[in-house]
Amino acid sequence: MATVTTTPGRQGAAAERAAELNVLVRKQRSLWQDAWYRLVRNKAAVVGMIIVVLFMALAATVPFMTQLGWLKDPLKQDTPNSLMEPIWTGSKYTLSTYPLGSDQLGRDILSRLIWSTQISMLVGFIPVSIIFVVGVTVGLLAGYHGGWVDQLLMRFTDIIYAFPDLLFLFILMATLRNTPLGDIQGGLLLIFTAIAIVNWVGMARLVRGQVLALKEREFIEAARAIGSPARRIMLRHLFPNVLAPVIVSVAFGIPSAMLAEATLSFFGIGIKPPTPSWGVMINEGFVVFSTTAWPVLLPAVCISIVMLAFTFLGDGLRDALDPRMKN
Amino acid sequence: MLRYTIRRLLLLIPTMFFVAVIVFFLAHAAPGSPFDAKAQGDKNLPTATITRLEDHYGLNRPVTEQFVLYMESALRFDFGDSFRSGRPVADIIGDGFPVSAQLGVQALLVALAFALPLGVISALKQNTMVDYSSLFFATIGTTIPSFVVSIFAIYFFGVTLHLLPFVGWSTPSHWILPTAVLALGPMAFLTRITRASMLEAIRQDYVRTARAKGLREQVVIVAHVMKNAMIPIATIVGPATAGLITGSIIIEGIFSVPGIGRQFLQSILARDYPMIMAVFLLYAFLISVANLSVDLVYGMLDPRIKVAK
Amino acid sequence: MPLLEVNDLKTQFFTRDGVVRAVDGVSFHLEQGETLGLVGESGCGKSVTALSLMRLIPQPPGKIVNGQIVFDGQDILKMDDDDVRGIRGNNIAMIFQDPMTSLNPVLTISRQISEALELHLKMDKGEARKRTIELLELVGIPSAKKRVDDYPHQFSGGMRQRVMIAMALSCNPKLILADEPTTALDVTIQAQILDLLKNLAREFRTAFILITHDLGVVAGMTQRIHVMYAGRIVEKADTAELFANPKMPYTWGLLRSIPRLDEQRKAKLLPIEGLPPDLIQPPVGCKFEPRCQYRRDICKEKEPELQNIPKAKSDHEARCWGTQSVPGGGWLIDTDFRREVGDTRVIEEIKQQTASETATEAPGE
Repeated sequence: MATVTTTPGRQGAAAERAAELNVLVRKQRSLWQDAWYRLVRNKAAVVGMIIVVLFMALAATVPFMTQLGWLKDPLKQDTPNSLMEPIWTGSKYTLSTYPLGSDQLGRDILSRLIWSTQISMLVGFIPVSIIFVVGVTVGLLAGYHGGWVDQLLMRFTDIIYAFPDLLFLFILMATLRNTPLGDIQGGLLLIFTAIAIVNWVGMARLVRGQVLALKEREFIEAARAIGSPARRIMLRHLFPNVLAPVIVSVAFGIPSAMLAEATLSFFGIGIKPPTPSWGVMINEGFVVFSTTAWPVLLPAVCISIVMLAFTFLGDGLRDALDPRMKN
Repeated sequence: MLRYTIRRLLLLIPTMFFVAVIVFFLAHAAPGSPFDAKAQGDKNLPTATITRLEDHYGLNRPVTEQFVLYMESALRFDFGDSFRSGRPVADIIGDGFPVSAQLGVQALLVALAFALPLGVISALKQNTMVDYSSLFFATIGTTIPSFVVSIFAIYFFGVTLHLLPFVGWSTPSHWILPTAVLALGPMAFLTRITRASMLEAIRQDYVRTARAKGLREQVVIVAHVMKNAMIPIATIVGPATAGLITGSIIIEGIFSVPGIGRQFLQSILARDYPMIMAVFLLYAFLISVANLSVDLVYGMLDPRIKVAK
Repeated sequence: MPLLEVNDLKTQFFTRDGVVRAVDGVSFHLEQGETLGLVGESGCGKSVTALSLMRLIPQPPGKIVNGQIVFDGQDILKMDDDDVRGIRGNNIAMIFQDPMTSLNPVLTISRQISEALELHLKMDKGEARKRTIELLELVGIPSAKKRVDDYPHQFSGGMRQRVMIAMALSCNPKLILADEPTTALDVTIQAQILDLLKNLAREFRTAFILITHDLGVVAGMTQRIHVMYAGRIVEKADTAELFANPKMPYTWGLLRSIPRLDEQRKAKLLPIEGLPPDLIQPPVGCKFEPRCQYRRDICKEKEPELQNIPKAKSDHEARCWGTQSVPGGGWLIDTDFRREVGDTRVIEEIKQQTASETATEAPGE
């Protein structure tokens, strides 16, 4: 199965010999290809990936659907028709215009759920992007340069570790949401910032650890020896090699951020009503829980599905990217 | 070992200080005062009274000055009185802490009791139905928000089946639902960790050596593998407690358990500064100690550290 | 009757990429008290052979698919699990390559050695402990009584390997499999450990199978050597004969590739070109053919059998068409690789060394 080339002359003979000797002809795979291959063999991860993509697509089409009039206004109140049940229950409290029912202010649950998808996606991705940029940069700098940046980072980490994330988030949100900062974009900016502040340290710490381990490896020494400037070393050599655990961290960070927002909103210190989010919907639904459970159940199911999907995907990524897991 | 412990404990002091600074300034950054209408609920105090109260508590002085004053009393272990109830903060915490502690310990024990066997069996029967189901359960446990689970639990066991009470903490049957729900998260997490740790240990060379000596598989697993696998698990119990602490705030809120968790959120919303500070400092201290315990437990269990070369 | 007789052993690993034929028809025998060297490159199947002997191959993905392993008259492959466990550590023991990872870090060495004693020899704790201390002294660990309760990490590399040896010796096995026992150690410690093994072999008449890629290790230790390549044995000979008169081009390649202290500084190293073959889809014909300098057409077509070499001094088999007097083969029968390339000095050295060896040794019963 060895291929024989026909380049003429001494070079050709050598090439022929080399080709003959290369009896090992199984296809070579790059690290990323290998990881992808492993990922798609993990059925749970694939299911997770599909669900995530579906939700992202749904979130992206929200502005379209509103324009086309397909999506009802999630804020429109209709108190006479409040607390309608979903149409499949067959109870006498249903209306075809409210396929999933309505909440206590008569707002259509289905549109609110779909609208919340958008919010959840934003809450999932934006803070995590901030965490990614800030955390990786600081981690690279602290790990590579050491010195005062590193010391500062370590002190920071100690303090933040002493704060349970949720508590810090609570106090940040509770105290600042009534300030002008908290009014921007219906409280979204504050939530993004708060989540990012609480979690960037973890990412920085992770990257720092990886850099410390890699710093002593020969290929970094080689890069330094040929005079590569620090920035180049960090970008071209260190960064690609820390990507694997960072990706996993991001994959788990997204549902974590969503959960944080849902919890905050549930306690009334998250997204400002009337903007809907799944957490807000659960908060509002809790009040009428004894009358009808649907206003709580439906958003709860949504959160659970999306978070499960991300978690399966994250698990799959972790298994796929860990080179030690040779089966 | 002892010196190391003392050094770590001493390091707690500057950490706590910073926590105090951050919390104090954040709390005071919220607009409004503890005594205005929103905070006090229905009690609508006349403006004159509000101003007098604020003066009495020094709330109109510069924030930095207030902080210094607070720290001075704190160092004398005087944490002031709650703005909301007027009772000394120390008393309120004294009432609530045992309840929260009990809830936490119960949840931890329940979590361990299920997670350890499940994790071990899962690892031994890797890639079988048992393994997949427990992994699935573990994933669900860490994914579904605890407040969602609480709501469902209340709906199912409380409202529909009328089996268990879900408000308050008065009888042992009141303990069941909150403990169970609080235990779910750590249980799922610990199951995964146990499984991973067992799998890691089983792959080691010394397991091959043990088998080469002719030992029965059972002996190999229990005497050789588990002894190694349990070490990382024991160390993670400390940090897992941090999760319990956060979780208890939510659980106490939903199930109306009279612990300090419930106090927490209400104090923040009511801008009850002394309570906020006290509760936060307490939590920060507990969590720091829990995190510190990781190194200590390692030192106690792992002979490579215990018996330094 | 030989202590161990292995017939056509085949061990395979079933992987996602295909079936790896790690051991592909290995047969050999071992007498009581004899030390046999099993030599080859990484991946040639020597370790898998040893693990197969004790049935320590992990069941998925591995499987012993064929063969007989007759030890002391009984076929190990036909025994049930309990009986096999009765043999492990008891009649056959194994010494592994890396003593750091092969010892359990959280158990004392007293515990790790006593385990086998209590299990196989039914000793109670007191007896086992006493015997453990004896064993530690036997393998040369100073202050054995004090150190018996220490943990593995408290010992240096060489000491740890001695502990492993003590563990292997504990139940007086008839056969010890030593898998690269010195590879993970410093060169100076290597010599000590090898000496220890040699003395123990002599004193207790234990048979050894010494597995290594290092020809220097087997030179002074073994009576016979088997060279493995791609899952098969490709040459069998007495130690002196193998070094003096290698017949299989692969063996010659190995010997020639060892750099020598007395060589010209400018002399080039002579590695064997190419890489070992793919064990999932091995080539038809001789597996070494692509890398062989002495190959001919017949080598690509059919795989040679392991045959006795005509005109050889003692039992000397090689798996090479060049050494077999069949039509189309035999072109290497009269070749003396050493003389061709001019290496007579080495022959003298080996001759002298093995002469002094055979004078003092008394192999067999």
